[in-house]
Amino acid sequence: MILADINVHSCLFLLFALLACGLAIAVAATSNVVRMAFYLTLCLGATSGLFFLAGSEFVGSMQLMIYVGGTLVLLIFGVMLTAQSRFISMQTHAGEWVLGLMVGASLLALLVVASRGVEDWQQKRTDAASIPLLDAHDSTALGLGFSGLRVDQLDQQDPVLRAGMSGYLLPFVIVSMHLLVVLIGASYMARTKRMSTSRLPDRPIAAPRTDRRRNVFVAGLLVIGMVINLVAAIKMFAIIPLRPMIAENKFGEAVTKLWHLVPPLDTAPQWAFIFLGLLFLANVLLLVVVWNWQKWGAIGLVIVPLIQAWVMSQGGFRTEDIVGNLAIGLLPVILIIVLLCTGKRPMWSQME
Amino acid sequence: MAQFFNHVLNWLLGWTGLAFTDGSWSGYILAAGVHIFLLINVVAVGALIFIWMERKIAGRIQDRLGPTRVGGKFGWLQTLADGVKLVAKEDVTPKDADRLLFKLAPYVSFAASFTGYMALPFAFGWAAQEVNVAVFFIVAVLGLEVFGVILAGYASGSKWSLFGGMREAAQVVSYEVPIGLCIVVPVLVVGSMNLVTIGEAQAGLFTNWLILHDPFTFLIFWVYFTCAIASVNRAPFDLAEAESELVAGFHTEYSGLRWSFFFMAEYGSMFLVSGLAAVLFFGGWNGPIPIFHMLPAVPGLDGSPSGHWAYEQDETSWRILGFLANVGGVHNLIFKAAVGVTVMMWIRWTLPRLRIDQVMTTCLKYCVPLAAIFFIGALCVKMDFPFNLWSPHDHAKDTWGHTFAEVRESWVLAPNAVGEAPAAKTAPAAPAKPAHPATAKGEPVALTPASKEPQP
Repeated sequence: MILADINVHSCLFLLFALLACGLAIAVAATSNVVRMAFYLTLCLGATSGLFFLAGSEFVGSMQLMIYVGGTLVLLIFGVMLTAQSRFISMQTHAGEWVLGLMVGASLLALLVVASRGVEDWQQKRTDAASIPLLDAHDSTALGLGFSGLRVDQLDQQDPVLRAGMSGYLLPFVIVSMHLLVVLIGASYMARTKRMSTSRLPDRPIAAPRTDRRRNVFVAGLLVIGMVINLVAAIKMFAIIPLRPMIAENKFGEAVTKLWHLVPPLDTAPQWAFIFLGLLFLANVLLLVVVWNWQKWGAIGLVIVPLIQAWVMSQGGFRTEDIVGNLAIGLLPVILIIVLLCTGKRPMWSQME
Repeated sequence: MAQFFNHVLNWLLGWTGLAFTDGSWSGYILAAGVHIFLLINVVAVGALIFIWMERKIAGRIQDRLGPTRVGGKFGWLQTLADGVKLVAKEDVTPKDADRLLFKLAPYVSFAASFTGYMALPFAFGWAAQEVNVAVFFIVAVLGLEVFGVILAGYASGSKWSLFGGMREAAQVVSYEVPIGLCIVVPVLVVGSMNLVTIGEAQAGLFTNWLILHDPFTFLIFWVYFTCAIASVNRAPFDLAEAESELVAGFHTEYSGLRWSFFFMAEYGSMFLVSGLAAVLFFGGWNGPIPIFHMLPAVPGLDGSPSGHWAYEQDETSWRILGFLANVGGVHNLIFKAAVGVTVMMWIRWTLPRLRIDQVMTTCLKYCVPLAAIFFIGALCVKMDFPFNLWSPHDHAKDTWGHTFAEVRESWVLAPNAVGEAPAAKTAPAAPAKPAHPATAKGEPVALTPASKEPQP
């Protein structure tokens, strides 16, 4: 009965394969660049159809996303930007034909030889019905391979080879870093140059910098604040390695006493110090910002102690320490802001 | 479905001597035909209704009535009248056009918009093709619709069209970046790219919907919706067809049915991105209250193993009550998607069109950074950072009170794979063996240390 004998799978494979090949030939045979791009789209789409037919949906979608979507949009972009008459209809010379045929034929020969070399493809499979096609629908193995685990190589016996079966995490990271660098480089190359932007009329014009006056007290406070915050940040970062040594009283009584001036550093968890150190560093930066006549620095100076208090409360510090730290952090800031806002010509009005 | 058709064929044509086994191709082709017919109708009938709705909404927003006469009180047959008009119009091709591409472009656009529906589930298990990486597939296909537009713009041989096509290309390519970042977040939370799994993970009360999962998913939905509007080329991002500047943009030279294909594609993609939003963020086919999960099975009729109407996970056989529950689910999904489409219309008739530089600024300076920040935030919620730093718990629940969806297989597998000495599966000499041990099925640690003979 012929109706029952038709293998739809093979028919569809033939259909998609013929589509892909025919459209590939059409790409080569057309002289119009945009039509070539169009045929190439359809050709690559038919290839992704082959992947779907083979049950590997992830690779099929990947083909659609990367080749059909990304590459061809870019290609059409290129075509449109360079759509001059000599590209619209390209004349191929005989020499180009010969060269192209040589390259194409050698690639084809390579592929044929390679495919003949696979033993499994030499004879027809007898167990076609028992192949677990459904497994290929799952991209888990692929994803695990990229995140550092080859689930298809779990039965590798050789311990030396086994170490090498740790997946494609490193190549994956290298490739993604490479792409990131390329992206940043491209946006750097393509950005508008500063010279021309400054000439645009609607750019906000900064206040003249010449006649700004810095209050002596404010300047002194800012410098002292920077020094104190820097020391505090260094201390916070140093606490983790130094804590056991202090506990053993290695540096002598005086240092230990000095150390314990700021209590209860023995109990709090390590992460809190990292956060606090970063926040102190942020304080230094904000003070520099205020020094450079930016208003938002002052606002940041108020917010940072509040965040510090929150971090300390999460880290199990005593309430009096939290309040004390808050006071030590906030009072000078308030003093600075008051000083900024007072005087004959308040600095606040000169800031941006 | 294919099996069902084969049974029907056997019953109908058995007397002729034809035998239709379960795997016969006739059933598959019939099933595919039915799926395609249903989906084409989702797009076509959907466009019919949405175009009428758009007119009514536009009318109401502009303080007028909109269509009132054709087909009775509300003018609900207006689109049909439009269709008749479009069929009757002459199909003109300009002299300078690239004839082949000009004629093909509307079909490319429509086919791309339609293909996305193949992977969109309308109820539990009701997808034309249940793709394992459905989210990824839909995103990939959504990006293809721009081809039709670019081709139309180029092939028309008109500067208006070319400008429209170029604008659309620039816009869609840029907006694919934030939309991809947004879609990753629900995938991250659920731990699967299968839309059926994502939808089913939100079953239960509406508090299970991913938009209410944590603050970041709530915020990222709005980024997604903005980018979705831009990627389906709707106002305020409809630069490709800006009527006041480019006549009609990329479809300036089109008329008749070819023109209407572009519009079917547009309404089709609107419904598609809204449906995707419904599945990813709003529980898909699950209603706000899980009625079908609570309704007890009717005595005499069949119930699920747990004695309710709705299908359980992993249930495959056909049941009348499960079927009814799924029909309810389809209504849920279509309602949610239609709400999304309605909001898009509301936005279209409320906001003025952006300039091209504003469109790019919205994408690159706002949507991408916001999406990246919310992505990192959602990642922190998923990993329970920073709370896990000082109170490592049993990882059954995070600080926000959510149960972790699933521990990733690699986390379970890694100690087994790397730590122990060659704990071999049975195959000593099978490098070309098909790749899969039990891992893909979610029983990862089933490595039996059977034969320990070392390989040569």
